[in-house]
Amino acid sequence: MLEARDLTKRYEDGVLALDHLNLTVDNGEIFCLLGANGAGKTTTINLFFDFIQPTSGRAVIDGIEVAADPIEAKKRASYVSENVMLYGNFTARQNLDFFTRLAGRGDLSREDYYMVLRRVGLQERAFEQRVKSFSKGMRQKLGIAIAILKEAPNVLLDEPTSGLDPKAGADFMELLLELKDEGKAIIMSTHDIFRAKAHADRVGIMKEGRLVMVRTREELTGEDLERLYLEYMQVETHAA
Amino acid sequence: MIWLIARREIADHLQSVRFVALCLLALVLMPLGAYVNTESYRSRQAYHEVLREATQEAMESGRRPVSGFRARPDDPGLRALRPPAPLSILAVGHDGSLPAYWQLTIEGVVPGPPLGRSEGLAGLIGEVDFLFVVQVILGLLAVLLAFDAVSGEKERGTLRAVLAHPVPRIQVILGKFVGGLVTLFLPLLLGTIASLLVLQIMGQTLLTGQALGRLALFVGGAGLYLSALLALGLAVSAVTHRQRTSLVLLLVIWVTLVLVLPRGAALVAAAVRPVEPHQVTERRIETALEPIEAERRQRLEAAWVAEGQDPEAIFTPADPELRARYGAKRQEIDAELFRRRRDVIRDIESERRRRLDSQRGLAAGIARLSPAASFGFLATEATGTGDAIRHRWEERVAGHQRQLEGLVFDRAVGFEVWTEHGSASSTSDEDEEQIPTYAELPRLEIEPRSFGAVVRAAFPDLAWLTLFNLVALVFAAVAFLRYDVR
Repeated sequence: MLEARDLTKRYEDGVLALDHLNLTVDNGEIFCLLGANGAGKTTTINLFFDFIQPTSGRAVIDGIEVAADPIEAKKRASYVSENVMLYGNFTARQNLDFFTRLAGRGDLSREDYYMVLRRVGLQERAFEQRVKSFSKGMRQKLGIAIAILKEAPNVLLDEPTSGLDPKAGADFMELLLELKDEGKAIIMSTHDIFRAKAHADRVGIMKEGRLVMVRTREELTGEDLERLYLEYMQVETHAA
Repeated sequence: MIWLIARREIADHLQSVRFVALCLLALVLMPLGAYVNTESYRSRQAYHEVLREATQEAMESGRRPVSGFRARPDDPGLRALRPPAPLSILAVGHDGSLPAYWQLTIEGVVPGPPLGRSEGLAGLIGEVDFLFVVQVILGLLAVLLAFDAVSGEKERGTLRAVLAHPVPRIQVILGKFVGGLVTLFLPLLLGTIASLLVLQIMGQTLLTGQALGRLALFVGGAGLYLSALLALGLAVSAVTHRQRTSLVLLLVIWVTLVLVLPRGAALVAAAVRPVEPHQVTERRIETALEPIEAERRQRLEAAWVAEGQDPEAIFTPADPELRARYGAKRQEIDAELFRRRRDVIRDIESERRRRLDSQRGLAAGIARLSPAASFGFLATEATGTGDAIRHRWEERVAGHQRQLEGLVFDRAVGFEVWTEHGSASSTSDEDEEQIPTYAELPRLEIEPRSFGAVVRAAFPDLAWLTLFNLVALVFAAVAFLRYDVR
């Protein structure tokens, strides 16, 4: 379970990137965060991985406060970035081996790696290829493979399908649904309103560091999410 | 975790162009330098043998040195010969530039020519020896391995991927340090082995007793120096957010530490504590000796006139009795005045040497701020070619000179006579027997310092390099703990 409790981040230059965010994502739930660039989506994810320190409030993973015990907290969460960057001189299998060992899993064999690479849809000939020759789609698949092998109960994804072709994007979302079915709590930031509506259990809209709207899948049934999103953007802007 | 990260770093480094290029350069230069410097050492050894034979000949002749003011200024039997240092093959240091011998004369110690004179480009651009390869080539490799360790990974996005896993940051930075260190040790060890093989083939083994210990100290010092630069590189990488910025910063630091500071230190020291040129000192000595020379002429003339002789006919005594009386007086006057001359020369020269030592001390102190210079001092200490060996020889030669003054130079036996046809000596066998034969004279032999003494002398540099490592590494770790990976 992922929780943000009054989570706030103000950077050194005074910019308030996150303003008292309160959010809980249960196991087996996909929560999609929508919002313009600079709305606070990536800052939220950064705080869950201790990449930055909160100004106030807490990011909590399975009851463990990230800032207090980042190592224990990170054992329970996987991360997939917008542009999965791995070690280019290493093959896909070598990257998997390195990152799963970092995650504390030294028990995996070459066949285990191949199995998960097949599962994420990477072509066999790419298993022993250097990652520097990979397309973005292949790297994203490898990123999700690392997340799968980590076997963490929570997954946070930062615009993982941005820049992927439609087929690759759809494949990626299929994998995400599999992870959800395994009972993982998932937060995904995205600009893809249609995928959010199609796959998320709840959708939140962020604006200037605040979560200005949250709707469940049921509440969104029959709603035009794009119109809703644009309305929130305009209302907030006018109010400001 | 540290070793896991270190292994990844090593694998990455080994595939990098910078490593392959600089490693190959080091692996070519190290054995090549060993070959050329062995040849150079052997030529110095050959010159030393020529000098030694001349000295040996005097020793075996059964003769005695000519004493007093008639002593030869270039007597091969009165030389302190300095053999070349075998480990100069690794670091030439002062071995070629220090005198091949010191001539001991009635007026003091006169340095002979340098033992080896560089006739090639090395004289202009410096020697390419093991020390150079470690200081410059591997030193550059150390900063090039470290410059993008943090900032580069941040730019490439891999740092976020790593830190999203449950690995403490301190282990990440230590893993990078260990990985870089192992990578750096590869060319160092391979180069050492290749150089030792070349030396073995040339019949110049260093794998014996003391030399082995000194070689280990050299390689250990090299390791400390390289790890200091690596830690410094990590620290700079951990305070910058772009690899280009850290590369530029590190290259500036590298140029300052390796090239500018050691040379700049000599400039600063020369400006702060200037020492007059040798020629000016010689002129000052000449000037200081003039009154003594005038006094000598005056006293000799007074002695001559006291014998009731015509001052115009001085130096041409025909009467044997007069000649003997005047000669004895002259000997007495000359003996005293030569001692005074020597004291004047010694005072002026030792004042200059004191100033020079003070200037060198200041230069060394400033240069030591650079780990490259500190390693240079340590390496030349280990090879017996550093400043310490110069000091040691100069001190011991000065002591030896004092011994010979008592035994030979101050025993102004006999006296010179002057005729219209020139001068000739007048000594008796009895007089001569006061002087020991060459073989009876004490020999100046400087044994190589014990390994323990070398380690003690190298300790300040070992300690400084260790401290530099610790400070740079702690700085890198603290900077990385606070590093913003956004």
